[in-house]
Amino acid sequence: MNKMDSAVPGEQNVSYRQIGKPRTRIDSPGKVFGKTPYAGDYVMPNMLHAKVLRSKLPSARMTRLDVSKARDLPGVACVLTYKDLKIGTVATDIPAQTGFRRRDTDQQILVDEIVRYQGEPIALVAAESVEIAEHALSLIEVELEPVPGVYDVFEAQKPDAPKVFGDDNIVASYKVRKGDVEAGFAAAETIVENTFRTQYIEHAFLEPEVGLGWEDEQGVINIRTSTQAVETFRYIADAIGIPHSKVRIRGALVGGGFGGKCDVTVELYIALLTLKTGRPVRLGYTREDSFYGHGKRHPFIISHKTGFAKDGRITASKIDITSESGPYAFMSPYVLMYATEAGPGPYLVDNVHIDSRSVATNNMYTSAFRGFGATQACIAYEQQMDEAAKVLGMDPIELRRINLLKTGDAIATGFEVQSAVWTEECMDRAWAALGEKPKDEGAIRYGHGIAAYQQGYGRMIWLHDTAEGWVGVEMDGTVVVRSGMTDIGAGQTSSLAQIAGELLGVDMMDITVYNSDSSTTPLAGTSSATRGLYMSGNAVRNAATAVRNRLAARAAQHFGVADSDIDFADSRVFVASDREKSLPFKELIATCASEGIHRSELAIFRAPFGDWIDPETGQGQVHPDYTYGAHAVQVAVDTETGEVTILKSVGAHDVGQCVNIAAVEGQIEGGVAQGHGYALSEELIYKDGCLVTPSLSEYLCPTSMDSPRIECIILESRSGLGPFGAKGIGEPGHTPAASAVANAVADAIGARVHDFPLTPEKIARAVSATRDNG
Amino acid sequence: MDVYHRPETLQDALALLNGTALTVAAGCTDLFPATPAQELAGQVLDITAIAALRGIDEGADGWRLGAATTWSDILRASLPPAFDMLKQAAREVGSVQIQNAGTIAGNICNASPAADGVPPLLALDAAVELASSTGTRRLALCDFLTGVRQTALRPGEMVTAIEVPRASGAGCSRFLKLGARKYLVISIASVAVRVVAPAGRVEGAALAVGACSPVPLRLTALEQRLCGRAPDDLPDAVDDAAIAGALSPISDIRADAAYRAAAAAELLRRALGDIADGAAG
Repeated sequence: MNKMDSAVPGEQNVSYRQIGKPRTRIDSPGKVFGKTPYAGDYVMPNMLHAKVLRSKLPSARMTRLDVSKARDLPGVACVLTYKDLKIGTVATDIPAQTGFRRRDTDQQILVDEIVRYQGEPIALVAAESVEIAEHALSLIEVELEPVPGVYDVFEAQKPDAPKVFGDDNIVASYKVRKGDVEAGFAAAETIVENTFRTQYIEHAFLEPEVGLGWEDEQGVINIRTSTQAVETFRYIADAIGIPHSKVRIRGALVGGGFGGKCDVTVELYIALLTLKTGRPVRLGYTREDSFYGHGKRHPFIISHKTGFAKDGRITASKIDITSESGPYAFMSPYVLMYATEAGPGPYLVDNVHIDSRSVATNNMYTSAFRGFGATQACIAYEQQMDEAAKVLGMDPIELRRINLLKTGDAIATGFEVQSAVWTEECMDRAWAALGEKPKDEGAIRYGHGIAAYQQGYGRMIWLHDTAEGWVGVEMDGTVVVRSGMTDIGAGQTSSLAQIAGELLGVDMMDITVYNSDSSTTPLAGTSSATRGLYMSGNAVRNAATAVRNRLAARAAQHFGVADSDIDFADSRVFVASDREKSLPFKELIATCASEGIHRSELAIFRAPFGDWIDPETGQGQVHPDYTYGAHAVQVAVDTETGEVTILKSVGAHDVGQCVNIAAVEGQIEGGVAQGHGYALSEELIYKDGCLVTPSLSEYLCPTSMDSPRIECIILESRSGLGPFGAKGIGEPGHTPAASAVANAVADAIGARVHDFPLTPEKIARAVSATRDNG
Repeated sequence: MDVYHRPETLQDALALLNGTALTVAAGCTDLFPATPAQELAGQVLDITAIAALRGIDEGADGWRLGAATTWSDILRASLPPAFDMLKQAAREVGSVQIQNAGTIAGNICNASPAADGVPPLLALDAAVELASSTGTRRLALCDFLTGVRQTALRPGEMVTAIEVPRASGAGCSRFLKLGARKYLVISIASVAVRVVAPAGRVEGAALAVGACSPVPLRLTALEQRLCGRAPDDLPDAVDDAAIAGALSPISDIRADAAYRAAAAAELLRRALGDIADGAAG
């Protein structure tokens, strides 16, 4: 517990009235009673239905495209091909916050000649019904001539490989050079080398992509859609050739995103078809469309060479990282940056040498997925730590303890983390929660596994991240919050209500949050990168604080006390040192209204801004701050069949400060279940670029039968950069879960499967190899 | 689709089948996933309104399971322990929703090598009743299934019932399957075993393996070897090499051939062990 008492920045021993409590979220009643409309529930009179024609081949030249029969089909309103587009490309970068566009992320909207992945869109149809639109697709005549593609990241780097991206198929590459890695290895007693591979995986959100577009009386193209990022309206405007002010994205509550709804998908097609037809257009993806229609999680190949001194201290870490981007950039450069930054894990390493690259192939393109590259890095560094412990004959917990970063230490990029680093506390608590390991029984062997992590939250600081938020008090003392932040099911809007409610003394249920509208709510950036609460929570805190201060000044005048002696709770304003002196909140508001005192505020929050890290050394600051924690897992492995049963799964995380502890637990539990599937059963398999697992009967997400009750241990250092000292937990809950499963399986069977996922077959083979060797 | 037929009598259904190419539909739990578009192509004959095709009847000669009997119907039916393996398989066909819709005839007509219903039915020596407007015939299930997604159905014919002979209602039984997750998963390997050992010695055994050959197979050589043994000795009689030799598993996205064969042998040992332990009763 000594770490918890260390001098960390942040507010200590504070008590809140709403913050940190397990409150029912403001979005829950609507969802529970079935009243919440999702984007797919919206319809309009005179609405058309859209469909997308996709390439069946992954690498081809289009030699013929004839849509005349489809256009002639009765009931078809519009068929679009590349020939009909004013501008043929769309940006695929993180939605702009700096105002600078990076041209190298642009890609063709519809195939004009070259097909680069299976499923690449060729034509769009809008018709009076879904059935007519489908029929029209079948009437489009396309001839594709296969051209040699490349489907392996190592083949793609050879000089004579087919070129998918640029001159060399390298989408991005980075270096980290810290200390003297050769001297570090020379000083090492033991050197451990391993290579780990991760697979393509699918977000598999419950709600496939869907949206409805229409043109309004001002000529604005409105799009109601399921998205994590309303600010893609600018890319859509640029791509369809109209001003930014003429495209409006209105989100809805999102049925799952996990990074898969950050990029532009249906909204662009809807915009094009709405603009062309002048009629409302709805496009809803089927599950199959969704498998082919959005970017996946990057497969990574990560090699570690780690030197250890006799006492277990790491003397040097050399890491080689290759990720697969597919044919287009999307978020691949950033994902690679996260993986590079996280490379050595939450450990203090003086001598670091990392080379990383993202390589283009004709397999499916990859983009954002919860953890954004830091998860794959964790799968490698935490398996490496367990393998090292085995070689060194050390306890894996103790090996970590010796090497863990402590508060104030410098991470791989040389940046000294200012917030609390409580990894050790989290590790010990999670490990202890597993209890005794059961005795092996017949073919069943039990294993315990741990994984610690470091995950940045907020955007990379050179993106100059900002978020705005508006808070206003109504005449009756209820409160309205406006924020452009999307609510992707994790309680984003509810947290804003809780924050405004805490500061204004109004119950969160008396607060209405308008969000996710690119034209009428203050823009706040995406709900991704574990930045939602951090950025928008701070923006709303800033706005609510400004309003509170003005109201407090007027109340202080009324009671004849200092401003600082005024407090707000239970819809009353009172003198903190003499609580008998109080007024109903709405009476204070009436006074303020009649005197013209401003009862609302639009505030901005700016994350720390900085420059790119040094391109030659990789030294500098990447993220504003980091979340730390650990996950522990107990498994039973059937050594004959290779089946794994997860018996216990415990996440311990320093979240800085909970806003809604029930929502924090929900984030951790969801992330962990996703991590279980990542480790054991989920895999998108591409054979020469063609997806052979295109449905949920081949792509196996865990069911409720596959996950045990997930235990959450939540620590609060109150040292984060978020509101009230919060750190982000959206991605971190997921980050170590899969690694912990892998380490538990290896502990159970006494052998390591280096390639994810750990299917029964691979495990059975590993067991049988140990028998053959033993 | 062009036309959707939903007759209420078998006679009407057979009349429609006569001379017209129809897709016969029951629970549609295999048909829908196999249909990439949002509608079925061609004419569809839905047999679920024919009351006579649903339900289980027991007679002097044995049991008759109507073609449109659902897996949930089987789970709720009162049947002797020899059918436990069929009930255990019924619980593993998709999810509860699938079991409420999916039918026994649909499972065999789909002719998937991994069909969970087939190994127990083989181990029950099931026969298939086929009807057309010109008459009725019977085929052993092992003759009805001719290959991957292939059956002996002739044009104009449909399956009307599955029959299990009285003699096959003897013994204890067990079904086990292996998949890449715990539930709602297509089998990597599955086994169904039925053992008749009234006096502490095996008098008869029926063993079938699914997902390890184009059509699920009975292991007749091993069945013979089990006869005369004590129930406790049964797992030891399973020889990995012999099992692998009898099967012809494929390597696909779910598993490779060697793993499938090894898993089948292990599942057989466990199923036989469970029977010895009385766990199957």
